[in-house]
Amino acid sequence: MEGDAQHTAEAVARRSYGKLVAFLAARTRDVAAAEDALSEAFASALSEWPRTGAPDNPEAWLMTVARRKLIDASRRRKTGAGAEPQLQLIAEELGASETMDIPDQRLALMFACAHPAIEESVRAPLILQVVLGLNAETIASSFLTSPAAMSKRLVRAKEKIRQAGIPFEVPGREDLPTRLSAVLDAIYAAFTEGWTDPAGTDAARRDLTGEVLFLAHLATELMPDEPEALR
Amino acid sequence: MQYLLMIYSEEGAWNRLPEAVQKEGLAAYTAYGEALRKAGAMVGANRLRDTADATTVSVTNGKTQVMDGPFAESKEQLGGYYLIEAKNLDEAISWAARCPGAAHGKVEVRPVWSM
Repeated sequence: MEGDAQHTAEAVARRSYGKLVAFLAARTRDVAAAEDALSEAFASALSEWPRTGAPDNPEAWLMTVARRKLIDASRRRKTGAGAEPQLQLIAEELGASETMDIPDQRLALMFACAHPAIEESVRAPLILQVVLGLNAETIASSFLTSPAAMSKRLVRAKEKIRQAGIPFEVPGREDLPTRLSAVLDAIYAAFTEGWTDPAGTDAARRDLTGEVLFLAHLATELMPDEPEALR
Repeated sequence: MQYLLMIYSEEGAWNRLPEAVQKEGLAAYTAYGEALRKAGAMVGANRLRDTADATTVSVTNGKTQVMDGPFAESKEQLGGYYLIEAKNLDEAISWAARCPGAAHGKVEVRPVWSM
């Protein structure tokens, strides 16, 4: 039973991490807070599911718990009156989300990560972290930098998304071709880094190649149906 | 969100332009301001006098120091600004790109610290 629940949690983590982050962060643009809330939700899942059994809809369960954590964190952080309308919105959505399908905004999240206002070299690591949930250590080893340095750059980029108001949106027709190539460049960069260990002796790196392929498929799958943009 | 669009351009370049070109430039700025107002995006705007007229002030240990000139000497200086209301950075960027200052200089886009 315990193994089952853990297995379910891990499977959901792999399949849904980016989807949940994208949805949690879409309104506030606060990716770091969404990630924190989600990791707390996964921790709750790992302690509760072995006792109660995995829920029928694990994704919705995680979303509900993560949003409560998000509201708690937001209350703790700012007590000013400015926080109230936002909390109200999150709370209202919380009621609505229990039954609905969570819309997939991962592509919008990728566009935010590969925005031209984000420093180019951090775009690929950022996508790997926020869409796939890879930790800074794994990413750092692939990009041949120290975990501390990588972590600092990722924090800095997320802060920029939030404070500069970088939107979670698929760009309009006019901007789509250039912005899309930034996303694809980032995925390609991640792929190249994933292959820096061609012998496959380093388990973490070998795994990364598979993750990036998943990312590339995901991007293609979610891309708007406009062939001219893909040229 | 509010964004400050700061126009950095080479001082003195304007005065070297022929009168007809200056006139066109002014018309472009007028049209731009009009477009911002019409879209409800204009919060405030001003053109600044050259840094020859700038004075830099600092206070150290309670003593006020007043110096002639800008904070930093550089070829390109802040020549004017627009304070705009925009939905997000992309909207602010597209306003910045339409600003005539982006063609004769560079426009720095800075989000306003919200309280």
